[in-house]
Amino acid sequence: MPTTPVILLVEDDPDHEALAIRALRKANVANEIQVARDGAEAMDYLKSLGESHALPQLVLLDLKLPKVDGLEVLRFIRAQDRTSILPVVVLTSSDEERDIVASYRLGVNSYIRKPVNFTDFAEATRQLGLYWLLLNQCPPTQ
Amino acid sequence: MRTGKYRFAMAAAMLIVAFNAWLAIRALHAFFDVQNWRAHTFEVLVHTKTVESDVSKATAAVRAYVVSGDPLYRSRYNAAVEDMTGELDTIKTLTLDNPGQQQRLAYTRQRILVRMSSLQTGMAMRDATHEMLGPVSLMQVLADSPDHGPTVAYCLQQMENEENRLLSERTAQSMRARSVVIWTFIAASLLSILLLGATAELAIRAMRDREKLVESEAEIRVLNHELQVTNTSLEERVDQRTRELANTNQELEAFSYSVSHDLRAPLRTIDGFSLALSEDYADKLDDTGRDYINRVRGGVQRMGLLIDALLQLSRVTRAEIQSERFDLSQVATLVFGELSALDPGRHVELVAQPGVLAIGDPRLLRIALENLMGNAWKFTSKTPNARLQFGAEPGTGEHAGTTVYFVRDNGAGFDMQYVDRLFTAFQRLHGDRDFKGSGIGLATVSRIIRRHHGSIWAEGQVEQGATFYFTLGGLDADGSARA
Repeated sequence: MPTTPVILLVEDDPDHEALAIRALRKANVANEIQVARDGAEAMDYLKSLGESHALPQLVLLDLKLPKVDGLEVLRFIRAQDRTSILPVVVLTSSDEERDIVASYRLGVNSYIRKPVNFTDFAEATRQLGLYWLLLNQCPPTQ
Repeated sequence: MRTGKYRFAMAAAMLIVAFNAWLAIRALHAFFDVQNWRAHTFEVLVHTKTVESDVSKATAAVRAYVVSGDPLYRSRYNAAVEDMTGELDTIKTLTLDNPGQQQRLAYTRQRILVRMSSLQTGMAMRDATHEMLGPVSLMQVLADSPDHGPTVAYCLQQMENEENRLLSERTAQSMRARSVVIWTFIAASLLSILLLGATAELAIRAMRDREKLVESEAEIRVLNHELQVTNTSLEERVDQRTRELANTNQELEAFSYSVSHDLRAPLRTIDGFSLALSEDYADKLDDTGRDYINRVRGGVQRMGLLIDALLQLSRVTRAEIQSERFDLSQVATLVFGELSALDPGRHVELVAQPGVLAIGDPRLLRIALENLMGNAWKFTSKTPNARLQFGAEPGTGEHAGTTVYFVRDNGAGFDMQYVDRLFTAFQRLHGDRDFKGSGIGLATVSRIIRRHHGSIWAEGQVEQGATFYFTLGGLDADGSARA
């Protein structure tokens, strides 16, 4: 039975997690949202998905994370055969050039800087959902 | 100088030693001379004595002949006369150098001749008479001086006296010479000793000087070593400071990174929940409540802008300058386009001189133009017919020879009284009520220009607009800039 594709949100700040989920819901994204509080949790979650389980349709990845940082998680995702084609969008407050370059080097699909203004963020999230979940043809998750 | 003295003393000592040797040789020579003379005198004396004895022999032989008539005595007489003649010749040869003696010798010969002829006469009388001569005749024949002139012995004595006189004279001369030689020898020896002493002293001094030199050389070596050690420690300190600076830079970078992430995170939370509040509880809020929420969000925006401006300032400070030649007019036009896009409600005219070239870091100079033109855009917001101008002109005065770039507006301007405070971070000449700003923009521009070794200055007049000038030190793109 087909389930709605999952969005994996990797975010350590509970406030931002709540705001991101609210923004996604406001943008009419109905997907199940799986939250990982740090890099290790994200990697564990991806590893725990058996062959029968569908992969997330999209990973929203913060860079500054406890334990294992976002770039390490990205490296892990790209290194695994099964997850290597997973669409990953970096959502971070950093606009440091080295972060942007490192992310693209590791094969990120998109890099978005979280604006302070939440109206802008909500708009970005809306467009994100629209693009990655509706417009874009994602690779098969099964 | 010292070597010259040393050489002079050495040469003088050598000369005196040579002179001394010469004196010694001369003294020795004089001594041998006197010895020769003594021998010579004795030789002459021996011969005069022989002559005297020959005369006696001849006289004795004649006496015997006259008495006995024995021819043996005649032959004895002849032998004595012959010997006498040989002796006289020898004396003549010995005294050839002395005319006085030669004269005396000639006279002596004469006197001998007189004596001998008397003796011969005696013998002839004996031969004629064949009998002994009478005592009177005998006395006459045998008389020392037949003609009563000086006797042969006397003459010979004269010669001997002369020889003796010469000998004593020469001896005295030689004694005098000896004492002169002795004194000069002593004096020369003393002088030599003195000079040798002086030379030795000079040599010792030279040696000491050399020792001192060696010592000071050693000191210099020690100092050099210390200097080297100091240098090494200095280098180490420089290295350490460089490392510390690198660490500080790294920390600063880490700090900026942290600021960009961590300071913004709570702001996003505040803004996000403020928005959620105003949206989800709109029905429970009145206008005042919504106004408060907007003010909260406004504060958050300002804080966000400040953080961004500070980040930019720190980034501009850290960034490595990568210079290239590029079209600054194009950048100005692009920046102007962005400003227009962000604020589509306004109409501002841009007058940009085309083809203004610059040599510098394009990204940093773009940030500078963004700030300068952003300011111009902001401060013309209350000006009708707002106009922004960008261009370049050749520098004059202290900026002669360089290109001066400028951004001009006809907006609010400023009081030249406060011009010094323009480029300091957080110094603002306008209240937030009139024009919003971080107070960091011009500080960032100033830092970018300084990092290009250029200078920046401004002219303005209240309500008449402002002009910001800058140069890019040593990186002049003039000539082609206005081509």
